[in-house]
Amino acid sequence: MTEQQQKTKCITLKGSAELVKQYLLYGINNILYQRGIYPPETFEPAEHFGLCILMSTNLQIVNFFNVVLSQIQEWLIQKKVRKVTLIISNVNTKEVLEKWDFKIDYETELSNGKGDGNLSDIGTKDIKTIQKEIREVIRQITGTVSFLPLLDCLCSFDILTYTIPECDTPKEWDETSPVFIANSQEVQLRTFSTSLHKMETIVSYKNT
Amino acid sequence: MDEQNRTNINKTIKDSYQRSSSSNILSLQRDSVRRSSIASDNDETFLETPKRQKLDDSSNGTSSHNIAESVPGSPWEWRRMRGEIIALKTRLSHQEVQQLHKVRREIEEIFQKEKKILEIQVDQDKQMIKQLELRIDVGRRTIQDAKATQNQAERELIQVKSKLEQKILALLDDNNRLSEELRGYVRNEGKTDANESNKDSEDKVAELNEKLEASNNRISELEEKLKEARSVQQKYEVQCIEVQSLKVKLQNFESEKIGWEEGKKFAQRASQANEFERELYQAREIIKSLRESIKGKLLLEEQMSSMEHRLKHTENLEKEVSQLEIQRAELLSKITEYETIGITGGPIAIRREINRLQHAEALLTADEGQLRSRVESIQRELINYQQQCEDTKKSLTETTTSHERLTRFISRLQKKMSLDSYRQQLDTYEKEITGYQSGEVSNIISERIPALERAIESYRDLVAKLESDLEAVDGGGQREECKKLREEVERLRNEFEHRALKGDFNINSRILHFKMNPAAIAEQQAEEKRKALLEEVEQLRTIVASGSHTGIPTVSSLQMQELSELQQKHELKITRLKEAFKASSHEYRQACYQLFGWRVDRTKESQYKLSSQYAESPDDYLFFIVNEDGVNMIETPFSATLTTLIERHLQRQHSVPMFLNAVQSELFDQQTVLT
Repeated sequence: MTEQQQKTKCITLKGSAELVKQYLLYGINNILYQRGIYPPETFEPAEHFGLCILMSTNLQIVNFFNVVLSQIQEWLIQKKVRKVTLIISNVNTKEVLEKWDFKIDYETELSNGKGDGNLSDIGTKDIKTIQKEIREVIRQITGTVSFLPLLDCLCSFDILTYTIPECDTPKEWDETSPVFIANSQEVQLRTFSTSLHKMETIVSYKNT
Repeated sequence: MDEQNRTNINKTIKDSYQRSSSSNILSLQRDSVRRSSIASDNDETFLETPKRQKLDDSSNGTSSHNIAESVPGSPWEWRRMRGEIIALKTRLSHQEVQQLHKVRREIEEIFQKEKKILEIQVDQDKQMIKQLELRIDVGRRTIQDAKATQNQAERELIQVKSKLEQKILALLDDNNRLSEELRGYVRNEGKTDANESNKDSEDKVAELNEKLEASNNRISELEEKLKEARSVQQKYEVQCIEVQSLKVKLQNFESEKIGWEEGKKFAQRASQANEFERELYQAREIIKSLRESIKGKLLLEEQMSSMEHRLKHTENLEKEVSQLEIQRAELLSKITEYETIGITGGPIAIRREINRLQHAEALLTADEGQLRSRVESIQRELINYQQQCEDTKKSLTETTTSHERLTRFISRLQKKMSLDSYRQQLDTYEKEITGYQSGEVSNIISERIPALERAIESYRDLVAKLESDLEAVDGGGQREECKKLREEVERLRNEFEHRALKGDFNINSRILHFKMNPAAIAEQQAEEKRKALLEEVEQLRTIVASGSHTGIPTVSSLQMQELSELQQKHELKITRLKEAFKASSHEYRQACYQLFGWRVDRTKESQYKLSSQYAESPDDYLFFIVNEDGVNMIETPFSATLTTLIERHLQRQHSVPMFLNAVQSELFDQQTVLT
C-alpha cells in the first residue's frame, strides 16, 4: 500500500495482489449480501472504492475471509493461483446452485514466462482507474440480482482456489474436485486489470 | 311380407272408412235424438242412443286394437294408423260433447219458454186477485157506511127513548102529585063545611074532571106516541136484523168467492202440474241419459288416456329397444373388434392387457425420459458442434481468401515470367531484325513466325506444367493437412473456452479450499441435525410400536423448544395487551366520570351500577340492566328516594338520560346548598 501512495503512479505486484484481494473481499461480501446467503441484519455498510458495500459482521465469516484471502494474496504474489471460485450450494442437498469464477491472468506472464514471484514487476496503471474499474465490476455484481434465480433454500458458500500443480497444500487446506453446474447459464461480467493482474468475473447459475 | 303388408294396409283403410261411416251414422242418429228431444216424445230412442254409441266406440276401439296387434308391418304404417286412430277418437269425442251440449241447450230453451208462460199466467192471476180485492174493499166500505147509519139510528132511538122515558116519568110524577093533591083536597073537603065544601067541591070536581080529562087526553097522546116509538123501534130492529143477514150473506159470498178462486187456481195448477210432472220426468230422463253418456264419455276418455299412456309406454319401450339394439350392435362390433385384435378373455384379460400396456408405457416413459435427457445432451453437443462449424467456416473463408491471394500471386508471377521471355524474344527479334533489315525480311519473317509460334506453344505448355507442379508441391496433401489441423485447433479452442467458462479448469491445476469453510460447517450442522431428527424419529417409532401412549406425548425437543418459545411470546403478548387494555379502560372510565359525573361499574354482564360524583354517600347508587329490551332500572335504597324524578322522567317521558341528568342536578343542588 505504501508503494501505491508514491507519486510515481506505478503499482507493484504486491500492491496489485492487495487490490485483487480487496476486490475479492468486497465482491464476495456483496454477493453474500445480495444473494441473501446470510440474513441482512448480519451485514454492516462500509465505504470502499467510493462505494457503500455491506460487509458481513459474522465472526466466523470474517475469520474465514482473513485466512483464505491472505493465503490467496500470497499465492497471487507468487503467481500460483489461476482462478478463485465462490460456490453457493444448498446445505441440505449439497447441490451447487451458483458459481462465481474470478479468473486471474498474469499480464507479465507473457514476457516473464513462468513467474516465480518476482517482486520487481511493476505496473504502470493509475490506481484511480483501477479502482474505478473495480467499482464498476462490483456495481455489475449488484446488478446481477435482477436476473439470477431466487435462492429459496438454506444455502452456504465456499471458496475454491485453482492453483498451479506445483503449489503446496497449506495446513488446514484440502484438495477438492472441480465443481460443475449441470445445465448452467454463464454470464461474463466486466473485466478489470491492474496492469499486472487481469481479473475476469463470470457467474454461472443453474438454468431453470 | 309385402303382400301381407299390402293386405293389412287395405284392411286398415277399410276399417278407417268404416269407422268414418259409422261416425257419420252416429251423427245422424244424434240428429234424430235431437229431434226427439225437441219433440220430447220418444224417450226410449233417446235413452238407447248413447249406449249404442258407446258400444260402437268400444267395438271400434277393440277392432283398431286388434288391427294394431295383427299388423306388425312397417313402423311408418304403424304410426300412420295410430295417428288416424287418435284423430278419429278425438273427432268422436268432440262430436259427442257438442251433441250433448246442443241437447242441453235446447232443453234449457224449452224450460225457459214454459217458465215465461207460467209467469204470464201468474201475472194475470195476480191482476184478478187485485180486482177482487178492490171489490171486497168497496163492499166493506158500504158495510161500514151501513153500520155507521145504523149506529146513528140507534143513538137517535136511544135519545128518543130516553126523552120519552123522561117525559113518562115527568107525567107519572105529575100524576102522583095530582092524585095526592086530589086526596088532600078530598080530605080537606071532608073536614071543611059541607056547604061550602059542596059548592067548592063541585067547582073543584069540575075543574079536576077537566084536568083529568086533559091529563087523560095527554096520556092517550103520550101512549100513541109511545106506540109510534115502539113501532119505530120495531122497524129499527127489523132493519138491524136485515143488516146482519146481509152481512152474513156478504161473508158467505166472500168465502164462496175465495173458495171458487182457489178452486180455479187449484184446477189450473193441477192441470199445469201434470204437464210439469211430465216435463220433469222427461227432463230427468234426459239428464239421466246425458249423465250416462257423460259417464260413457268419461270412461272412453279414461280408456283413451290409458291407451295413450300405454302407447307412450310402448313407444318409449320401442325407443329403448331400438337404442338397446343399437348399443348391442355397437357392443357386438366392439367385441368383434376386440376379438379381431385377439383379446378373447373378456374384461379381465383386457385389464391384464392394460396393466401390461401401462407397465410397458411406464417403461417407455422412463426410456423416453432417458432419451430426452440424451437428446438434450445431444442438443447441447450439437450447439457446440455448430459453434465449431461456424468457426471452421470462418477459417475456411480465411483460407479461401489466402488461396485467392496466392493464385493472384501465381498469375502475377506467370505474367512476369512470360513478360521476361517475351522481352528476351523481342530482344532476339530486334537483333535479328537489325541483322536482316537489308534483305528478304518478309521471307524471313514468314519463316520465323510459325517457328516462334511453336516456341510460344512449348513455353505455354511448360508454364502449365510448372503450375501443375507448383500446385502439386504447394497445395495437395500439405494444404489439406493444414486445413484439417486448423479446424481441429479451432474446435479444440472453442471446447476449451467453453469448458473453461463452465469451470472445468481441469488442466494443470490443483483445486484447494479451506477445510473449515462455511459450506462444510453448514453441511455438517445440517447432517447433525438430520441425524438427531432421525434418532428422534426412531425413538418415536419405537414408542409408537410399543403402543405406550400412557406417558406424556414425547414431543421432539426442538418442537418443544419452539412451542415453549411460542408460548412465552404469546403470554408476553397477552400480558401486554391486558396491561394496555387496563390502562385504556381506566382512562376511559376516568374520562367518563369526569365528563358526565357518573361512575359506571359493570357488576355483571349487562348490569351497570351508576354512582354520582355528587352523591352524599358511596351507598347512593343506581342500578341498571341494559339489554336488547332496552334500559331497565332496578330499585336500590337510593332510587327509592327519587320517586318524583322516576315518575316524571321514566314513567312519563321514558328518557333515562334525562332522568340521570335530573338526579345529577338535584344532587349538585343539594351539595352546593350544603356547602
